[in-house]
Amino acid sequence: MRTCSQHILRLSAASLVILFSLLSAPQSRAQEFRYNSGGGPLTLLIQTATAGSEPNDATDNATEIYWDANFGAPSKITVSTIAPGQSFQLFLLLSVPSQGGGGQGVAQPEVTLVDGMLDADLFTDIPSTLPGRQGFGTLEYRAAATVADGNSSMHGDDVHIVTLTVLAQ
Amino acid sequence: MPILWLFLAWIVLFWVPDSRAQVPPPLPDALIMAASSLTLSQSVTVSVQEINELSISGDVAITISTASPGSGPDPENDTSASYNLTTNGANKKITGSIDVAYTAGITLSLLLAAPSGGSASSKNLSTTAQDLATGFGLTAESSLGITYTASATVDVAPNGLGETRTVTLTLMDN
Amino acid sequence: MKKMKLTVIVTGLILFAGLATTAKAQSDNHLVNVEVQAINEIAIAADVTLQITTATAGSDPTDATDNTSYAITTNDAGGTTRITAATSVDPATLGDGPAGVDIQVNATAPTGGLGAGNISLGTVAANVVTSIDPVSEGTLTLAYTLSATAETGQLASTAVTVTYTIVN
Repeated sequence: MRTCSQHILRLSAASLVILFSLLSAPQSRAQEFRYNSGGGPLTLLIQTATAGSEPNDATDNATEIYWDANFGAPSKITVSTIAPGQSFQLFLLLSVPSQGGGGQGVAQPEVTLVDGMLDADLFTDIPSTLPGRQGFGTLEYRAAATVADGNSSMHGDDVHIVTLTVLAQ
Repeated sequence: MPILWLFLAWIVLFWVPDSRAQVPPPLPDALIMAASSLTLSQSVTVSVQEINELSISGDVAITISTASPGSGPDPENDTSASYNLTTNGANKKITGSIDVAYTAGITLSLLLAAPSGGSASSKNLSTTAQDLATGFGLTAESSLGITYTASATVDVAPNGLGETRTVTLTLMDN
Repeated sequence: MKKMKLTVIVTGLILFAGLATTAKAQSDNHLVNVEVQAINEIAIAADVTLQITTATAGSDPTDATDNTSYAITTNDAGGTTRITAATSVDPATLGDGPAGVDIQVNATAPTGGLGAGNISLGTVAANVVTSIDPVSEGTLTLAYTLSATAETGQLASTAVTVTYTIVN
């Protein structure tokens, strides 16, 4: 017949096993969407031009995102922005390099970011299975302004809150 | 022993080899959850400085060589030069000057083709900057004409290969 | 008494008003060369007609006179600029007599120059004005005189070209 301490010992061991099970990685991963690099506030500064031509664009390629589009269906990544009083132009392209079996999908043309826009496709037809549903890419921002747009001393800077979304198509 | 069997069963059921051989491991703040969509947000600021750029094409050579009898030498025009302009500011002007005056009796005047929305007038150049075009802005234009007129009085003696001066155009606030 | 410790947290509110920009003037320049070449221009206003038709009995035929004018521009400052004149035909050979005719011109000098007075013209260029400074002046008189003697004989209408030249 087991003693009280032996029962306690068995219960503790079982609890530890159960607890360890709960804290360990699940059998199948859920979706994932994160920044690999960057992700903090960006400033694109337009400050030069060749006499006779429109101002030169400003670009930023410092932000890289990672996704695991485990939605059980083909997925896509979209973009939208909020930029009250927008005066200048901002564009975004998701550049997905070749990465073996990962990063599968169809890259969409550069998207024009306009205040209050509906979500626009950046990258579509992400497969639902491994390894293609996982991937990474660079957010290539491009800012442009014409002389007719004026400058920030007139209108202030444009401040965008850019939202990227990964979801089932 | 039952506990040991339970532990072994857990290993068989829950251990999954890492399949992400080509991607980095998850960061501590990764969103790992079952959801219908996931989002990331980023603040992006577009800032545009005031830009003023002006360039002049080519040097100019003007020769005064004729006159009508009884009259002073004929003035000579040159339209070979042009200028390019970009400004994203408002209410601008262009001034012009020369670095050193020509010999007394020689006058060089300059007339710019005005940028869109602006006005221009011919001025005799001196070492003091003078307004040549005013009241324009928010424009990018190229090959705008520069018309020089050189004149000399009859008292100006022939000057060999001529006199060369530096003409400076400045784009600035009106 | 229980002491209370007050911790004051100062929060700095940082305002980003965009990158401060001040309008900048921007310049470019190029070279402009002005060359003044030697300029010498003279123009005669009109032709003249000289016709000897009368005489006083016992004297040679009466001279004929006519005037025109000239305009000049020269920027030579050497002080030696002059105007010469020459005829296309030697007046001494004109007429059917042995003596020929005499064609004289008296050119009014421009300001600063010296007129040579009445000069008999021939096929060899002769100074009619000297010591000309840089000048542009017009309506300067050319006074012609045609003289003949009884030995000149008769002379049908004959065109004689007088060429004036500015010489530096």
